[in-house]
Amino acid sequence: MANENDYHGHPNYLMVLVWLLVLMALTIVVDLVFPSDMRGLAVLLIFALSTGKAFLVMQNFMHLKYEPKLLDLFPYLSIACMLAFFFGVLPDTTAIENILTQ
Amino acid sequence: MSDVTIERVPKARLGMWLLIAGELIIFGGFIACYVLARFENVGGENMFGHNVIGNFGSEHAAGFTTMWIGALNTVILLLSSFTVVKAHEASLNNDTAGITKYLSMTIVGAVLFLTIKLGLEWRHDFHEGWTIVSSQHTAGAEALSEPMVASLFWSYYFLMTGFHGLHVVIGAVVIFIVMMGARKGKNLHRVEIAGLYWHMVDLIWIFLFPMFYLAQ
Repeated sequence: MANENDYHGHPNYLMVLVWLLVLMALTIVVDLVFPSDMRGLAVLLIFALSTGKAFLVMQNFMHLKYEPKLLDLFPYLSIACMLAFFFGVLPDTTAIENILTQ
Repeated sequence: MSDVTIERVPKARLGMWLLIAGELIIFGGFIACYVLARFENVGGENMFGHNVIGNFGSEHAAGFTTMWIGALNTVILLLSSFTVVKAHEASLNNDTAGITKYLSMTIVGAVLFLTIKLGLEWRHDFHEGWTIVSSQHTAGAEALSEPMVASLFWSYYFLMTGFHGLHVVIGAVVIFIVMMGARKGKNLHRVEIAGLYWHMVDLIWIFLFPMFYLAQ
């Protein structure tokens, strides 16, 4: 070990990059090939692929999979905050829509 | 599973993760607002069965961004994430030449990204009459029946891509400073910390790309 702070392992970064590019290519393919009446499914797939890319970056390039589990709280708690905000405000949005459509 | 305890994590790395968490909350808030605005303004019958007005995110507003340019920028950021992690690997072997090489490549990636974003995309958008406050349109205006709602897309687009671009600039400057130190063999541990910041910039773009270029 060259450095005492380098307690984590090092994945094959090139392979991770290849996977990221494959997911990127798939994202574009989904966008291009899905017909307009299946747009909702295409959007879901596109965001699932993006989440996969983000997960690969965090786990491998940012070495999160080698860090203590407590460190997972930093990114995942942030995402939980976003979801809490989103679902907290969503009823207000729908309430406005109800008023508009009455 | 890692058996390393939190006490073992270097303070600089812990600090950077705290910063990243803060940044993710800021961008997460933006993203949540954007998605809520899309739900509100998608037009027609929404997911709750209500009839709503607007054309936000239809074939109109989001259709004006060019997917291939966004895709190119995504690939550039993914490649620069790879070069910055290779610089980190070089720093562990005290390979200052390797650090300089890979960090230079990362900076080139940042410059390319900004050139495409500002010099190509934004320039074209401004030329078409789209700005962060655009409610009156020039070219392409005929396609928009709800100018106020359409401008909402561009407000989010310029705000979020602009804020992200600012992070790209900050990241490039930080990486340049770290690289200058590393060339003299100083503070090699900073390569990893700067790299973590750069990965966060990449991470955010991974979600901005489908939001503004694909999910129409």
